[in-house]
Amino acid sequence: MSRRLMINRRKALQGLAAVATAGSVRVAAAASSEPIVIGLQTELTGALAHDGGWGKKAAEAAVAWQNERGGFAGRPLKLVVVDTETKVDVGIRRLQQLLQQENCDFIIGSGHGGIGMASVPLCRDAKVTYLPLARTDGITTELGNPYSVRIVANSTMGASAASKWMVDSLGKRWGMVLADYAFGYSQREAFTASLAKAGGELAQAIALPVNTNDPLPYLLKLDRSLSGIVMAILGPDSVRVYPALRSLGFGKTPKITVSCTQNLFDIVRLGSAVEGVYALDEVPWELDDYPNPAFSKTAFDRIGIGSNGRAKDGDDYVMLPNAIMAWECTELLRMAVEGARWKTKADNLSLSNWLVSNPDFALSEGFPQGGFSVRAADQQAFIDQYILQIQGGRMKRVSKVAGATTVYPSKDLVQR
Amino acid sequence: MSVRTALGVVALLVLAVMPFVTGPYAVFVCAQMITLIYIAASLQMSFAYARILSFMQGTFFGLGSYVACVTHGSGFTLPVMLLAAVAASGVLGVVVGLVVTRMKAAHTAVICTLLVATIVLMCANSFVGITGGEDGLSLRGGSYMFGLAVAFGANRITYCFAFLPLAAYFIFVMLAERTTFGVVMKAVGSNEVRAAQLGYQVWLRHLAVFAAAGGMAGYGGAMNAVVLEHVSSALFDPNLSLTAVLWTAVGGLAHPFGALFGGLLVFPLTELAARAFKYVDIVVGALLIAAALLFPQGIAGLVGERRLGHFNRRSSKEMLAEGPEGRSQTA
Repeated sequence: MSRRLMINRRKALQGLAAVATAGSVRVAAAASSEPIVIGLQTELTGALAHDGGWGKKAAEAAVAWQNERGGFAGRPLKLVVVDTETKVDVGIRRLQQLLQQENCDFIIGSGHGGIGMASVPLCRDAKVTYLPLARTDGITTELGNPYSVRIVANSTMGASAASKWMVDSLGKRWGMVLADYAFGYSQREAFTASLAKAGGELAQAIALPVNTNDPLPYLLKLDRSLSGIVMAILGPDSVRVYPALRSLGFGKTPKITVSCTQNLFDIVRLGSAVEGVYALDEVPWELDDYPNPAFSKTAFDRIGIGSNGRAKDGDDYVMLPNAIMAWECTELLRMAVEGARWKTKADNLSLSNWLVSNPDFALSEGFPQGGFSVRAADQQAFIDQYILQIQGGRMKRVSKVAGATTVYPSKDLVQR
Repeated sequence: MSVRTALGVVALLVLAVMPFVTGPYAVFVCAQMITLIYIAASLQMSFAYARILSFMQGTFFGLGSYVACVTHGSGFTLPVMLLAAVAASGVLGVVVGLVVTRMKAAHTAVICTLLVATIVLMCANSFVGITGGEDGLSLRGGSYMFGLAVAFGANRITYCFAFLPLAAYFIFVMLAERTTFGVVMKAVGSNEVRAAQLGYQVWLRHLAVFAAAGGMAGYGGAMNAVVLEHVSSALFDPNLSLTAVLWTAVGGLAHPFGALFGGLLVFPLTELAARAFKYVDIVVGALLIAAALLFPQGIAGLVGERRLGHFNRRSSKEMLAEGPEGRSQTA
């Protein structure tokens, strides 16, 4: 009797275990087929609509490409896109929508500095990994935390990459025309320090009010003995300033645009007014100038970029850095999800730890720009940057600056 | 109680229960909306009682935000942050009001306030070391209010701090409407010549109202900074004031509840439209044109009429006999 009872009890327990196992398998199966939600906080209207539009195209293309390859660890991806309207308050509201309504697992962030600065602490509090496309220093120098990972180059890195090349190749005494705006001043600070470090100097800086109709009174103050001029101005002003500089006799003075400002308007369409202008960019424009064009072709084709760096449809200019970086963000997430065996948002800290312990994200179809690693102290990646030049109406690569040369000291901001 | 007042009370009650019956996202959206209603309400106050259509209420709002942020950074608690924001915006209101209240033509005050707003925006963008420019400054952590810990961001406590003073303002105006004080304030707002002839100090009242409206917008700005945990020079953009003008025009410029009605209609509408339509501003613009054509006195004017359709049948003589609030002059 007791033996029969024991068997029965054992059988009952085995049965329960079998049921429980079957249940858990079903739960796991359900979990594994559940999509991973990626939010894209971007500018579809307002001043940065063109940039954000290309970020959106790239993120959609990247998610479709990843889904075709089996998603992240076998789980499909879902992309939710919100429009910040290029306004900080709307950007914050849309971020809350992604966090609280759409329940996003990861967020690719805005290219707008103010929105990026406001969003980083909110994502930290929500424990959601945020990958900003904004280049404002403060995102990683002040607000660095385990939930924020930046793979675009910040202002300091950009200035550092350009300055040594500028001093070695073009001269030591530089001037700057800057937007009378936070962006312009951060560039002035960064170039003052980095030019001095490279053995040169920023001898003159002229702040130009944003949307100035007549820039001549400001540009007349430019010193004619300068080795070259750093252009840290925004798109609408650029179209007036370049022709004005030529008419004032600065046509042959070397000029270099910084921090993707050459992508804010159709620079090559200005013709002879911009011929010979140098540009510092995070990515080359022409497919053949990439480290491995065969790798880059996948991203170019999928996003809709032609081999000359312009849109395949309509010959529109492309915000290439944002497009390529949005593409790379999804590949970074794929590697991190699979490498850290990420299952839910609760694993975001483990994902962060995996990201900084992985020594190198190598050049591949997913990382067409080049390889990089993420620094543990502030979770800033150090990518290669490129010196380009407008030659015959095309933006050609002149030099590459290795990411390792742009590393700067950091406080240990990320406490794990 | 008129239909308009009843609707206003219902709107306030809905906002009062909102944080207790909805999720965190709705609380965030409503809290942000309430802080922005302060701009519209202050504009309505300035227009109705000081006869100044101000295009710089957003400037007071931005100043309040920054003062709250700076005082928090200096280690002060929430009451000091809020009081400092109100005081700073009020003082700016006095300074600008000293000029604007002396301008007799309506359009000169509009131009003056717009110019001040533009100058402040340019300064805010240029003095990056203080304002942080477009990148802005963050408010981190939280603060204390009489020993009570208050976490920044959108939560029930910050919601109450944003909502209760606004509700108190609307209730005060509603109750004061028929008191001597209320009647005099309406009189100096609607017909300053007649009010002056009756012996009231019109200019001083206009100045006080403009300064108070500035302080009110400043409080909204301070709470906006607390809810969003971030301030930037974009807060000084005259577009923010323009948004307030839109809300108030749709809701009704002549009645205090107009700002509330406008905010409650336009803000959620733009939120919903943004999910389906890329260029939301077109929808908002169309709404403003429709409001101007179909109900020029705004929602408050529309629902305030005892008999619908009566407004359109009135003779021009009747309309001339009425004040800007759609009622016979009492002062």
